[in-house]
Amino acid sequence: MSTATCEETHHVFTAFGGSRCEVIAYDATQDDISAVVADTYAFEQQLTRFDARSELSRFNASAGARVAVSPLLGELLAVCLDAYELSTGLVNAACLPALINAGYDRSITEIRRRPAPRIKAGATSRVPALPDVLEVGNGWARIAAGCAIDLGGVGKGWIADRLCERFDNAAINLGGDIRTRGPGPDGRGWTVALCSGRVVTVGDAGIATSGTSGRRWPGGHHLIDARTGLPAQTDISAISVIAVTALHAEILAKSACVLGIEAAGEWLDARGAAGREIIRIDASTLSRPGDRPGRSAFGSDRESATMCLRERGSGQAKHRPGRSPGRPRAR
Amino acid sequence: MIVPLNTRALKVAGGIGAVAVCGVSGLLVATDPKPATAPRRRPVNDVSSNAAALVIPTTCGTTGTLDPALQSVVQQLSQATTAAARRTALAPLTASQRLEVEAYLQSLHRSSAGATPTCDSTGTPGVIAPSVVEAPASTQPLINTYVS
Repeated sequence: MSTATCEETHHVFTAFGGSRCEVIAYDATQDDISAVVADTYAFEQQLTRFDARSELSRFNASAGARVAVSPLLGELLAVCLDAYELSTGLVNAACLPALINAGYDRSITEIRRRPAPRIKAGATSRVPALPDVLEVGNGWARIAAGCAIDLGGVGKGWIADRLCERFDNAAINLGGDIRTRGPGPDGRGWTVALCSGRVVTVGDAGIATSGTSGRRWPGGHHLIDARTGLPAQTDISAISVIAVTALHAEILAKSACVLGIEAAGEWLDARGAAGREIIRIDASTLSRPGDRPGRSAFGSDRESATMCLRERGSGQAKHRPGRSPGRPRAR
Repeated sequence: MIVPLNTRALKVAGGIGAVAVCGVSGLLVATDPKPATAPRRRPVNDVSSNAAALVIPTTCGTTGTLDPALQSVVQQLSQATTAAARRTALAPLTASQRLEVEAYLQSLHRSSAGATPTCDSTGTPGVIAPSVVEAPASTQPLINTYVS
């Protein structure tokens, strides 16, 4: 095991369906970086829906039954419930049947290789309220019969946060979901290019971009509107959001993209997004820099409140079907 | 020797036998010494004694599923005060074990925070917002976010 500390390590790799991933760290050994890459692959292997052997696939296959789950899957399912609540139902992990109906029935790599997805004409999948169909306890979980879970970007955001928290000065990028931590390479923060190319400097932050321009195919794309069960009809091509963590940024970005330009701004402001960049379908750009005149980027005045995921109790059953804590209000 | 018995005689004999057996059994139970502290009814809320010996199938388990061998790592991570100490604690583990441990810690954090909720999904003071400033036009970004 090497123990020499690298001054700077920048490693690029591919994961999550061919997405570019990278880790930049200033206080890490090569072994630390190797662990980040290995853990990313292990995470993907355990929770991908495209492999019938993954724990997530086996969990979906056992719909209707209460089954033991690993701490990892249990935590991610609980996070999905929190994401549902934070997004007022717009980020709904129970959208997998709708995704498949929309044509996303194989990995995006396969769809791109063979661009004739089996879109079921006229098929719509009502997406049930997640708290009504997902029950998560301590070491077990249950998804209602006929339902299935897709962790989507929530998983990427979560693992980006965990990996970055292992370092004092690092940035992790997992397919566009970024978590930064520490003062950056020169002590002035991390420079990040948003979806439009505009560059901002951030400190400890999460940045995520969502949109309809990425994973798409003839007649559809991967961003399901849980209110309709169909690919979102939105005027946003791409939106980057800056928030407290990569997970929060991912949830906010996806929700805002589904809502569209008119509603997105107010919605994000109400949830404390620190900055955003929106590209319309017609390629024009809307910005809200997030910079505040006279305000130090990394000084001691970072006191303003922002959103956080609602923490839940640890009772026997944290979430019970039929006790929906957060119905979609944006229907 | 064959003794012919009619049905009525058989019923009487059977009844006498049953009464005798039940009587003897009752007598044995009544005279059996019992511990002075034995409860008359099973305590419903007492989880101290026999509950620990119960083996609950994993398919309906309500206990944590983290590998007991990893508990020491959880303890090390809980006590770690620096990122380097956290990495040192995680280093001997496999990738899957690291993920399980970190997820377990997150769920512990969630549990402890849930006991005294400090924020909700719409925002409550106490969480530091990330600072964001516009970079100079000529700045080359270190990292890019994009639709994947």
